[in-house]
Amino acid sequence: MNPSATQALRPPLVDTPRTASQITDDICRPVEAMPTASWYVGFFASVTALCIGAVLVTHEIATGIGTWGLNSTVGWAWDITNFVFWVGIGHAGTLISAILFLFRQKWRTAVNRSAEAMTIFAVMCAGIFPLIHMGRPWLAFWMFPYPNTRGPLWINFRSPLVWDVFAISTYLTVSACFWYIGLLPDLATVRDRARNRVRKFIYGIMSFGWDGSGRTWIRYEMLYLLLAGLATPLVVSVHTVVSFDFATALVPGWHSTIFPPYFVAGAIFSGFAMVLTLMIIARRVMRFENYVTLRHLDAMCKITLVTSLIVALAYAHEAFFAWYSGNNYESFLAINRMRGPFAPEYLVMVTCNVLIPQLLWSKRVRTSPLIIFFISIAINIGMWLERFVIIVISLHRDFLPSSWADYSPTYVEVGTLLGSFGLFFTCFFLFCRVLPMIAIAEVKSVAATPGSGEVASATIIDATPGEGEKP
Amino acid sequence: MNSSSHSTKSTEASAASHKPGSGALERLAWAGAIVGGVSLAAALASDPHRAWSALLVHNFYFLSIALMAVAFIAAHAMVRAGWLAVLRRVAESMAGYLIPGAVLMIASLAGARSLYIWADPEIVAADVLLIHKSAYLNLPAFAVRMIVILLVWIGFARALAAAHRARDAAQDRDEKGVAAPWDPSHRVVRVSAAFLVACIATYCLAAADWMLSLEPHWVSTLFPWYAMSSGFAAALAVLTLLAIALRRRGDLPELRPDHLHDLGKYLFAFSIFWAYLFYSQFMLIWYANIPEESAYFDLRGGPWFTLYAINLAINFALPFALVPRAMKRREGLMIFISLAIVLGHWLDFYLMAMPSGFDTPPLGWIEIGTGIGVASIFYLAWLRALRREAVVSAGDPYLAESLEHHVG
Repeated sequence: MNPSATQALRPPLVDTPRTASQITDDICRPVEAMPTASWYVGFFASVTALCIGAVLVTHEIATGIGTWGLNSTVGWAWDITNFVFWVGIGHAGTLISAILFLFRQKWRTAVNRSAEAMTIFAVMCAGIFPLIHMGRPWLAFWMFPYPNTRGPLWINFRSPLVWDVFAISTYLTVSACFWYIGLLPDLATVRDRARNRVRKFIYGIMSFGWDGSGRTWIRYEMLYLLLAGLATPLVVSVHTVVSFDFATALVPGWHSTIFPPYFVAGAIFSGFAMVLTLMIIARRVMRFENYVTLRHLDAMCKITLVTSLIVALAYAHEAFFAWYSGNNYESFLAINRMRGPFAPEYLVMVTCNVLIPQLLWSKRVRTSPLIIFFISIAINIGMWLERFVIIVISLHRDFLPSSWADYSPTYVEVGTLLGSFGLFFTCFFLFCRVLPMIAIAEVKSVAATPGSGEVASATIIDATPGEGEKP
Repeated sequence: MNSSSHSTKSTEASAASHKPGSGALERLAWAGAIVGGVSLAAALASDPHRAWSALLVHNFYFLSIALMAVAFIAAHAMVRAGWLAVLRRVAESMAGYLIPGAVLMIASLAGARSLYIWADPEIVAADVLLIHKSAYLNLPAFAVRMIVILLVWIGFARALAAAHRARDAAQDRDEKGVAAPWDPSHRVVRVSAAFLVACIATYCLAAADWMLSLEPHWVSTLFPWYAMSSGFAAALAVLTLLAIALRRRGDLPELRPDHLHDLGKYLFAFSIFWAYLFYSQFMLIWYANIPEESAYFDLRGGPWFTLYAINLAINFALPFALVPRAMKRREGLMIFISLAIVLGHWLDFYLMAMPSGFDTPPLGWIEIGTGIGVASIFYLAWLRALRREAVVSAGDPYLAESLEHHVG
């Protein structure tokens, strides 16, 4: 086939020609060199936020849930909003690492490592909120089913809140395994490049004695495939179970059969927005423009757009069926969302989640990092507000007008959200320092390396092996 | 390039010797269409309610299959997937049913009063909820929406096929020396995106109008997506069957176990996805137990329960047979499972529609005859669309990739 035609079919993923050793050098540089000034600034800002959060959480635990703005009508507000927001953020990582792997989407190699790391940190942030919401977090182990001395007292297996405990802990475990298994070959690379013995020893233990033999690689690839298969249902199941927390209830705005797939789509949407936010910063700060190219951003923007449209379709379903059902409570809720005390939140949500992402239809927008950055921030805000809208607007006007109430957050709640961002970014900055941010071994397989002849042309055409062998 | 020009020759040769897909199946389909026509006419005379119900179920089922097959192509075109190129025209031609299906759908407007209680002014006048809904659920609006929906489907399916045709023709020119375009799929991708947005939104409307409103007191926000997932899984099964039938006739020698392997993965994945939506809808309604919602599943208990169990067994449990690698590559097994899934999702559509109008499952010559008739028309319409061009488009820029597609 005429090479210019095949190149037009699939442009190479890593477009600036780099040799294999240059790729290794580029990706290991942030791990091996001393951190830059911008890293210090970011890291200490994050740690400061984390400390503020830690102080406020301590205050909340010592004093009680009364430090929050909750009341008997609005029993869930910022806490559970933050929980759902953070769980959702994690979903892009699992989608990239598992589903895109099964779909043979090779562009994932540049972003999967950091997206998976993001998943783990986001789930950690999420886990804090139900924990502190218990009021007595030292009794959190009561959530687990085990034979105990509290009488024949088992947890309520019929409660979606218990399903959540299982879903989230499974998710964290599988994501962490998947992420770590993927890290092994690269940890061995860092080990082999280490210049001092302490470093060699630490990375040696972390790489589980990886020897790079053919047999090891075969085992590794099979394990990776199996974990991808196992993680795929998790992408869907985790946020499905989170949606059950609401949808099994009778509250208008919560009880809706569309919730499971709609939550999953929303989670992937918000997750991709967060991956875009982080990758746009990281590619600039870490000088990874050659690896996280405009083509990668373009692909991620497309997924963001698709999920935005699914979320928009779900909003339309909810509004239409609220009227169509003829149910007074449902239609009141729909009107209350648009015109009630929290109407600004609702309108900002629709603007951020439905209107602004439509800009991504334009190729020019999808390849301008600065514009994507602002769109991704808008989506992050919009998706946080979506959970707030679902939770607070549904609760604050319940079936009995005598128990209607309002809600506004206290400084403790705002500070705790800030603290969770602090935890997330602290973890992320540490990750950038100690682990290779891009899967070195995988990205080499999609790079157009000069001087490798056949291999390069085969990778450019992607799924067309053996081009030269045909008669 | 050699392989692609080779395939051009072989398709030309086969086109000269005989029409693709001709033979016993085609004759059977003609007979089936006649049987269907006769039994539908006889049924309309003897039991119009059953006849209209049977027509609605089968026609909506095959319309869903036709539309979802094009959606499958559009989704792959958007991501520039290469492996599917040998199957593209097979799937695309399934849109051939959209026109006869649209005619039958519009014809069933004549039976609207027999099908939909909201179309009966006397019932509506005595029902507060139906009075509320009559702003939306009334015959003129229903008919206008139906026509718009069907026109959108037909229009976009044609536009997508035309975009593919234009791209493949341009590709031929390029091979004679003109510089290749930077992205040969540019226009196809645009049309695919528009197709997916327009057709998924209108499909939700169609499912709400034609199926959900059979029980106008009941609402489930998930229902349109549920019907779509059922149609999508069925479309994959039909695509598998049609591709294998063509290969066995010698009209699609390009189809290899690797293509079946990927179709098998899709079939498994979307069977599970269907079950996921089934569970989401069922479990949430069961758990909340709000009378006006759970009435839907109450109605499907009793004499319908066995059919529901069969529905889940075929559409959810059986596809697990596809998990081992060897199973997906075995043609006989893929035929068996695809046939079962086509019947299984037919049962699912049947269970969406029938319980609202009948106390016990109506399953006799009327339903079977109509089913055979609609399926035969689907087959003939597909064949007609397929024969307009070569079974495999020689100019498809991704053809080389598809011919050598290898699943590790």
